[in-house]
Amino acid sequence: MQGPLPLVFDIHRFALDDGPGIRTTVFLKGCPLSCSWCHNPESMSVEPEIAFYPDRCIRCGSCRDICPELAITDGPPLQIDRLRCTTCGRCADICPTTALRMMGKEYPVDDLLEIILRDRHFFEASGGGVTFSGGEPTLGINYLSRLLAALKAEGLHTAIQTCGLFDYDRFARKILPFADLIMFDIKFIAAAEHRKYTGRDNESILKNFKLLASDAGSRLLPRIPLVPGKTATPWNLMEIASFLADLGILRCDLLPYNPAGIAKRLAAGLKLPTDLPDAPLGVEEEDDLRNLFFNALHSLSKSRLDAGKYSDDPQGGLPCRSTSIMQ
Amino acid sequence: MPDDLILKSAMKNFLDGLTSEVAEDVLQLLLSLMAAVLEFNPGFRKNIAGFNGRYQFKSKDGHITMAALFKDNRLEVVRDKDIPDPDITILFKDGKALMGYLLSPKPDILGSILHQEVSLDGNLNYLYKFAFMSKRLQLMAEGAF
Amino acid sequence: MGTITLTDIRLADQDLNNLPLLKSLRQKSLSAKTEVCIERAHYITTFLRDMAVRDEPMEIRYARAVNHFLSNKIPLFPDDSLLAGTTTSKPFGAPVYPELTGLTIWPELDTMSTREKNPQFISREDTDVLNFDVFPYWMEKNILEATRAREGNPPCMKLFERIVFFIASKAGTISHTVPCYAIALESGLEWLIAEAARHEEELMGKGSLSQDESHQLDFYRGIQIALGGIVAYAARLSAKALELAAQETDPARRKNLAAMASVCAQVPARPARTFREAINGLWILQIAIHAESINMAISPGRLDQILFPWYQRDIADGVLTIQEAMELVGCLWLKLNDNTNLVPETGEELFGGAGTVPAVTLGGINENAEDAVNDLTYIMLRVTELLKTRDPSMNARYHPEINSDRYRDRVAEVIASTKSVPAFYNDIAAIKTLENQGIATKDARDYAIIGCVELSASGRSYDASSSIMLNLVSALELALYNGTRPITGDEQIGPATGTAASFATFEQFWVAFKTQLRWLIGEAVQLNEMMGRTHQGFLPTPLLSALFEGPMENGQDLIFGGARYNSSGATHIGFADTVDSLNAIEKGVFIDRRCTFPELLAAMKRDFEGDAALHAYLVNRAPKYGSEDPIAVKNSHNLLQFLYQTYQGYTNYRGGRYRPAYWTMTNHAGQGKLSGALPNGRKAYRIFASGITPVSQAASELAPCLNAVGGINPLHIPGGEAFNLKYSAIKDKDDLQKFSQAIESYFRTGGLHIQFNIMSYEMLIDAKAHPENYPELLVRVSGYSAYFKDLNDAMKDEIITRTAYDLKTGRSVPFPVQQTGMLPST
Ligand code: SF4
Ligand code: SF4
Repeated sequence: MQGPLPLVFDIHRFALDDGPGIRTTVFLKGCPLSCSWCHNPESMSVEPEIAFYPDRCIRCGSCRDICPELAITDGPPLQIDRLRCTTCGRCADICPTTALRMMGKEYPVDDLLEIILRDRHFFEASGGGVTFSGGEPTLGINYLSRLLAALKAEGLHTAIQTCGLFDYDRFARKILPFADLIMFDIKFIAAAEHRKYTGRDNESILKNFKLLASDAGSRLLPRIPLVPGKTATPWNLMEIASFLADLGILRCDLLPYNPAGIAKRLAAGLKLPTDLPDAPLGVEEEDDLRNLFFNALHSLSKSRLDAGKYSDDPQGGLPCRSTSIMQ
Repeated sequence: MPDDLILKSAMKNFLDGLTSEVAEDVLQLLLSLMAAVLEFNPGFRKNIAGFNGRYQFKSKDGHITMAALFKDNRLEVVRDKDIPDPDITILFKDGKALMGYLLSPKPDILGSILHQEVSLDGNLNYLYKFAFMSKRLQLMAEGAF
Repeated sequence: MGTITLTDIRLADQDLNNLPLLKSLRQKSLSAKTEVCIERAHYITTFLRDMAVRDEPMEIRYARAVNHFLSNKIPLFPDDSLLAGTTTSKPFGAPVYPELTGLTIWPELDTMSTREKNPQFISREDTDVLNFDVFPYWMEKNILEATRAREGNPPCMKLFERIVFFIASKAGTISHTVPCYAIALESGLEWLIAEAARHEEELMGKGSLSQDESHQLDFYRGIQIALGGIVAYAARLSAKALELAAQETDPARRKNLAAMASVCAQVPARPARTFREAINGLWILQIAIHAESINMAISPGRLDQILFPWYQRDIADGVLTIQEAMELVGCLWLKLNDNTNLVPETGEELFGGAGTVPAVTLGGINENAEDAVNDLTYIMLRVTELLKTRDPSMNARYHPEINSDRYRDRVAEVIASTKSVPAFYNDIAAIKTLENQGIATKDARDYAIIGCVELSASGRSYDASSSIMLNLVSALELALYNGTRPITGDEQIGPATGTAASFATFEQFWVAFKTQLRWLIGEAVQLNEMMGRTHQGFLPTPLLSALFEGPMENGQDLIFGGARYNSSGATHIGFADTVDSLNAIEKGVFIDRRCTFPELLAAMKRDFEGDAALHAYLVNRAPKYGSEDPIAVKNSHNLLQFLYQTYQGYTNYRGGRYRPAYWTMTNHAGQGKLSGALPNGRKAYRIFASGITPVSQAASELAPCLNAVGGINPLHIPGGEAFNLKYSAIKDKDDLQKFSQAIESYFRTGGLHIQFNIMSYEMLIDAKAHPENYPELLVRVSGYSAYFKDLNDAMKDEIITRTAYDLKTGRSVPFPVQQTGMLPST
């Protein structure tokens, strides 16, 4: 593969929420969408970034002294002039407390594999494996493909988490053969809303989903982030239920909203959208929406089955831990 | 009883000495009290029945050198002299450190090891015996016995 | 072996409500106050002083003393237990061993009854007996002073007396062993006595005897005399039970007393016929060993294997129900709690809160490499789960390829429910490690745990596993300061290995450190050898030897090397702090060049006052043991390997090798209090990390931590290790499953041992502030269990600050901000 490698911004080992068993989740930088609620905002850009955690800073001044661009001014709190900063990373290197951290590091395929394989025993003992997340892991599709292929060759369970925006043909050739689980985010069915909150159309996303529904079979797992006031509306969920029912898909993960994105945006010096909810849904509200969604999904798919609209076996059977599968 | 009076006043001196600032004198006070009580109190004297013990006490700065010789059912206190063949030599930073080590209600033994307040050379059992007797004396002086 | 007939291995329908006897005995046991028991000290001393025939050989004289004590030992029935016999003359007693450590409490006789921390009650009369009668006899004769006199107060002894370098106390090591009870239970002591008599006659028949042979003769006579004492004690128990039964009006009690009378009339003199006889016989043997050896870690071993034949037979014959078996096992567990160590104030600081740590080992594989888990394993697990007592120290063996997941999950569940026990051992690693020590495969497969975590080929290997406790940090300090210690100024203690300024590379410093370590180990070994020889001179162990494989055939006492295998154990304090300090020096001084070596020492001297950036770097950026940083991995492996090779180069006075180990009891807290600031950013006088556990809060990710510790070569730690892992909670089935799988994974990586505390920072902090609300909170210290309230403050802080991992994220839980002052780096 030519050119720079995609950047990894985190490797989460002993991860439990990203597929079956104990997993290592690799987060890759860069995403074609720009969801306002993203809880990994440091993943949006493909470029490296410097994150600053004021809590940890002891104001020793080492970073200011070393910065070649004079981009750092003493606080409190300390300020980084993001326009001057070239993300050379020297401040993060010197910082004694890790208050400054480089987000985004290149890992040659073999290096990353070596790290992942350290936890083979965890995967084997728990039926776990490896998940690639992001960002959008398929952005560096060749890189991802090589990793997945190598991991499959090692006999490990592989999963990816995708926003669904990719070139289907390449995906089908390079990813599909090596991914045991494809966690596919569906945010909105309504095109306008999708564009409004993610900055992109959802036409090809939904198309890709449909294609995968037949090509990936039970390896496809739709997921809906429950963002209060945005995706988590009865109407939107009903629409998604209808969409899934049409495809005969009965399993779906509903992911509670994670407000961690707010702090992360601040750390990375990113703009904070004004309308970000600062808490997930209340327990009751979430339960109500879940019930609504799964009831709709079941009754709709049943009626369509009865109508003989299609004869495929409905999906199911894959282990899935994070949220209730079917009600 | 005059014996009793002598004892009482010796004990009072001792207790006062324990709290006084002149910690250097405390060892002397302790040894005199011990000698007196051994003399007058047969119950306490039983502690040294047939006991031969030679104790050398020294402060690290060299200001205090004392010895306690238990023999023939009595205690002889020797001042400012090194005795031959002590069973144990007790080297201490100052009188206060020594008393803290022997008599504190909650001795900070790790602390005294850390600050090298007291160091020992010889048969530790002799020290244990002496420490028991000192503690007993203190309790007697406080009226607990 | 290994067939499970229980319909529910969890025995969920058995609990303390349908085991009311255990419930009430447990309550009694938990609220018992310690009383000093002088019975043994009195009988042994008076016999040796007044009654012994002087020109009789030492072996015989001592055996007679033991016999004298056992024959006069009070048959006490302090409660409604189903088992007869008590370790001491008190319901909860601390026996005095004047020939070993007993005299250290002399100064405190008048105050120990009322001291604040863990008081131990002694009456005025008993104080007088010890002060006037017992202790004076031993002034020149106890093991320490006898050694001093014999060896002319050698330098190694003075080094030991400074406490900070090493502790080499013979006392505990004699009893740190797993005896072989099975033969005595199957055949009876009368048979063993007859065996000894047969050997004696054989020798007698020879006419003239060599010196060795006449030693053997004395040994065989000693066995008969000592074992005779046990038989006499059992007879007294039987008679007393009969007498009490006759007076008893309550029919249930009468029945129990009568049953005990008949049990004690049979065992241990004759073969055990029932499960009850086997358990009570075993208990009497365990008591009897205390007549000879101190109550430190005498470990009954694989009870689910030893007792299984009787259990199986009784169940098949329909004379025993599962509930009855649980009651008997529960009574044994509580009996094993019936005594404690006599602990002076300093001991409280160094060893506080420990029980006597009799270790029981469950599960694993048998000699033929078959699954050894049986119904009794699960019964014992359930009893452990229900009683949650400090002792016995519970250990579960697990062979990842042979034992079932179901068994592993069940052990995990018991840990989750007790929050701390049992400790878990990997059979593959343990067996390989023992084989590497020259233990035959069959014997290695039958290993059991001694005391805290030490591996032993049960009943065949005499391992004296607590011979040396060496403080690694003290060697590091000597290397940093050219053989001196900051606190003692210029005094040259260790070899002069160069000043900090003189080291141009990390390698040079590493060589200096090894030189100090080698020297210190040499001193410690020398002292242990001296004490061993003193021990041989006056404290033979014919009784224990008779309950072992080897001595009877060899005609040689255990302490002369009569066991089939021999070793001495040396454990190490401050491992993680030492490795992290090496890492910090290598990376900070020689790679990153954040400061020079002398600057680092100067900062340490100031306790990092005014060195915030350097200190933060050392704490946050220097490589940590418990991560996969290659520097940390290299230094930890190198240190372990160096210690392994150094110790294995020594042969002890019994012909066995020295085995390094990594468990620390509470010494890491005590020793920490004596040590200045360290290169890893640990501040002066703070606690060290426990056992082989990474420094508190240094390893933030669970998987790398398990990989790093699991990646240690177990062959290098033949004495065993204590890896203490803390999880903040096991909240649900999902957590439990992950918990169990993480253990599996650690074992597959090669980890030897792991033990847990399942407790959050907040709960432990609350328990320190309000001990009255947590009277029964049991924690795993560094090999043994203790009630949290009994620990000293430094040790409490150590347990609180241990990194707690979140099973849901695999990462460490942030330490509460208000309490960061407790951390070793602050
Ligand atoms: S180097 Fe780190 S700790 Fe120091 S001032 Fe900069 S951010 Fe703060
Ligand atoms: S990354 Fe480089 S340019 Fe940016 S603030 Fe840090 S030192 Fe300055």
